[in-house]
Amino acid sequence: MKFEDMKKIWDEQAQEQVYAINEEKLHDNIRSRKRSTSQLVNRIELFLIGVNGFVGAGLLTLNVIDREKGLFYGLALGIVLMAMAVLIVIWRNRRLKDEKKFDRTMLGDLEHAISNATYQARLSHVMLLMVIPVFAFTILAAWLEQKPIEVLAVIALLFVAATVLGRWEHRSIHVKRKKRLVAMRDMLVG
Amino acid sequence: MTETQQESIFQDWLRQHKGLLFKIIRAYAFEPYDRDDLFQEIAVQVWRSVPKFRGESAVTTWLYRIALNTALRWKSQERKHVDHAQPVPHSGLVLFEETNAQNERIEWLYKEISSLNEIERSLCLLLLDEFSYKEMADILGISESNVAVKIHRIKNHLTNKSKYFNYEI
Repeated sequence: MKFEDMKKIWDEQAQEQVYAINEEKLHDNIRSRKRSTSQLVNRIELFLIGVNGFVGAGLLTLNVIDREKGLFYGLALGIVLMAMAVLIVIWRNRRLKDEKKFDRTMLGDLEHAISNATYQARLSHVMLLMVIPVFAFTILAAWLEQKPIEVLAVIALLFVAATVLGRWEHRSIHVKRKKRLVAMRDMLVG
Repeated sequence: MTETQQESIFQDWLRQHKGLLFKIIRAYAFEPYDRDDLFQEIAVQVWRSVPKFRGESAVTTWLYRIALNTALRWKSQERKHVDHAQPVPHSGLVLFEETNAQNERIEWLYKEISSLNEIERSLCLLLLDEFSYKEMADILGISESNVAVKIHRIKNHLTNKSKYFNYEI
């Protein structure tokens, strides 16, 4: 069959109406998506800034106010969390500034998606690394307060579970998605 | 632009060009729930794009660009695929099949298009809808010569596949 014949087959679609749209439902869905925060990256950033900032500020305040009970480890953890929140704010500003540099072609859109996926992967990687100091400070503080060994074991288990889940998320969602996008970009330019 | 104007333009585009969107959905999603999901994603992106449309290109070119870019991003995402052995109730979907009267030749053509990689699929749709090489290069962001090379490959692929298909034009 020549390609021109395929074109004739293709044009036959104009006569057949395969799908129908539930316009009312579509309308509702668009409205609800419009209300939701625009992007996943945005939500993750705001969540991380909020959690790190809030917990960090809380720890700093508690340990500064109650100087007698205040522990160096609590202060250090507060500083680390606050620093993390500030770092994410800086990254976020840089990301938002870069948003406009991509053109509206398919290649530009793929580059944009890759940039976002890279950013998400980096964010999840840093969060994974963050578990180490948080774990170290928490376990050290619990040990210094002479908590029973069961408590230390539960803390350790929780951190291990968080790390395993975090690694899974990092590899099977963010890294995988980035690889798929890069493969598509390579197909496009190759 | 007010929200009412945006809504009105969106409805007009959907009414006039839904066939274009259906083609892309059919080429990129193969199960009713997936088609529904992709259609909704494309619809949202089209809705968002309305205020950005400056009329520098035809509406069809604009919509093709948005729909193809959305389809590619959608394909890159991890999602759960449900077993669709059971018939899908219309009530739960935004996009549903209106007729079961399948055109065997169109089915064959879609099957072959879906065997191409995601980028070639985009080009094939644009080619079948008679976009020029220049327009395709603009939509994809690659050179015309690169477009020509890819199209040559696509035509060869489809022509070879058609040898195994009984048809009558």
